[in-house]
Amino acid sequence: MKSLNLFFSTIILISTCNQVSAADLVNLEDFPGWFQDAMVREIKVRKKSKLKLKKFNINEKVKGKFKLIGSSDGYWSYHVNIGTKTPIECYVFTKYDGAANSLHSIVQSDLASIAERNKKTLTSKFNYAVGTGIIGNTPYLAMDTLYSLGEGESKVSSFLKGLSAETNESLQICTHDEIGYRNAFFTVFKSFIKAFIKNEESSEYFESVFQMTLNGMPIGYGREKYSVDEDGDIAIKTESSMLVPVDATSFSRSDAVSSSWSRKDGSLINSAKYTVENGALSSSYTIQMQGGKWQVEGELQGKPIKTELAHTEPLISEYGSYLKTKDLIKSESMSSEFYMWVAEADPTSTIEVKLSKVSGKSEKDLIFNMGPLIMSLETQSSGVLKQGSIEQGSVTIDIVSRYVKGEPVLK
Amino acid sequence: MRSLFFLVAMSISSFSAAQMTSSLAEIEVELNKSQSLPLSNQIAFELVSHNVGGTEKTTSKEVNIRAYRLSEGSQAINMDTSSHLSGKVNDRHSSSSFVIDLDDEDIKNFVAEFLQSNPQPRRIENLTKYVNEYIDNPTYIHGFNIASTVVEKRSGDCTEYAVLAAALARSLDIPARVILGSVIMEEQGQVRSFGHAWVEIWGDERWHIADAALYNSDAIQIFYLPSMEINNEGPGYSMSLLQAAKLLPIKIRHLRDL
Repeated sequence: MKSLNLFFSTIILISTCNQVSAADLVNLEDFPGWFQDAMVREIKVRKKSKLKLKKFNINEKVKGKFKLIGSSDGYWSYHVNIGTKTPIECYVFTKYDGAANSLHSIVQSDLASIAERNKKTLTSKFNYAVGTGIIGNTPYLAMDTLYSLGEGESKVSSFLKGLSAETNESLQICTHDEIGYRNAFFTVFKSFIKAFIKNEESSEYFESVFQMTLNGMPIGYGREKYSVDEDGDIAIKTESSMLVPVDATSFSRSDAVSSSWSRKDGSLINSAKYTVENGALSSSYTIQMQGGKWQVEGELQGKPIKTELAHTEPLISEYGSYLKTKDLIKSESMSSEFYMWVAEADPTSTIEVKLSKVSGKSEKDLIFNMGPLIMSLETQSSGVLKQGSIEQGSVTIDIVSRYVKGEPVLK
Repeated sequence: MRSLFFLVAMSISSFSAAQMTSSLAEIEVELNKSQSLPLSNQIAFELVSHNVGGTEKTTSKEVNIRAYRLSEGSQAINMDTSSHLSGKVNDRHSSSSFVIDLDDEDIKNFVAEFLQSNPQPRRIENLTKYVNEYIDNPTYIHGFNIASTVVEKRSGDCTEYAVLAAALARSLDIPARVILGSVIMEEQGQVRSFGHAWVEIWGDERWHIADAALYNSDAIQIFYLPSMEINNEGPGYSMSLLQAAKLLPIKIRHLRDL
């Protein structure tokens, strides 16, 4: 670490997106020359080592010298030597909040440890970069933090890089406390994640991954996986993780998980979902049909939610919405309406969804109306989104497909 | 995956519709070429929006705001510093709800502490000052927290300040409503605009603005441009947030004195 005399207070959040998957939030040219030089230094990761993790059937060669430094029930911690002064640290968790919340927690915990190890106080920290991307079929999140310890002449500054991804019913996080070496760090993380993906059991017939951007800045991803059981019902698992830099020093963190069952005709059987925001459970719900009524139970911000929906007819599942989209694309009709339960909108009622074709455009260009939400979509003939866009004042949210395996609608 | 769209939009709307100064909530402001500062307390500007039809409906319900359509994507607006939403008071503005949860024990304790330390509890300034000082960790990270969550966490942005101020007012039998919209703020040498939330309190047969988030602001003048009241105070409050976010301006241009 080295002293860094920065005009931290004048650092402005500028999204300088020079690649699709990552955005530096500050301008490197505003920094002293030595920092600019250090930021672009790299090292070739030549050494490999064997990563063995019985729980996940992993016995793979990975890039970097991995050394297990701690483990307990559902937790493994490694130091990875790549020839830099500080090793990369990688973690595996089987119990976790999500890719966004857990990455943020580990970064905060690392910063506290670094301060303690250096016997100095953490005096400032700034969001340097946020990013998302995909390794094979697995999306990941990135967050880089610039920080300073101590005051005056004893002030030192450094750079903590972080990456996280979920594979194999587990979460992998790597961090590296050193200025520069961004490609080397990513190379090790990628190799680490590939070891998990290679040994991942997959029964899904359909998978898709979306990247979300906010005014061009990558903020997170969504992933869905569909499998079918012996009765022909469809199990739907969706996850989303978002890290939004809301100012120069803070990230808003959100992870959401949903598990639903659908019949092949597109009607919902039941669903369970939860959201973790900023390190705390924000909402959790279940919905199922009982006695001819849709029963919703759960909690929102710690308050119990228990209600019977006024809507007693079948509801359309996520699978069903693909079916409706595919049918609309193939048909002469200009629009299709149906009802869904979207807890994020209102857990206590259903919402009417309207899909419309755009006159004069391809049948795959659709407008998606869900109450106050209006989204323009470009879909594939399977109904899977290629890209979509939501405009709210000066903010544009784009959702772009990054990975698709199979088709959602069963033949 | 359709519900993901809602989750993403909802998450972002809470930043863009309801922040104090987060860069995500900034609305570009362009002064007329001949306009110098300071501004008078009556201004005119062109409001550029994705949803002029929606903002037209809103401006027709505002007091001291005159608007007419200029083009498919813009409106001319004349307003002054006393502008606010119209509408009569009703029982809803005095009631406990999911968002303004007056029945929660934490809220009751918060109100009791306020009453102990304030000999003139019904003064708007005392309400806003107390809420402003109570929230000791201003942050933009929260999506949208209900009043009891705000009391517990003591952190948040303008939406959290607004719901807590509304809870305090209603607990004192003063009708109150949470308003989402945008503000144009004249500061030393510059004019800025951003998405915002505040409270309107009923008294003397009219609504009065009570803005706990900007209580200590250095602004020389603040022009409040309301989009809508949070009309869904139930667990479906996200619907109101998204509706308000749809009404936010993209840009304010040709800003000048009237």
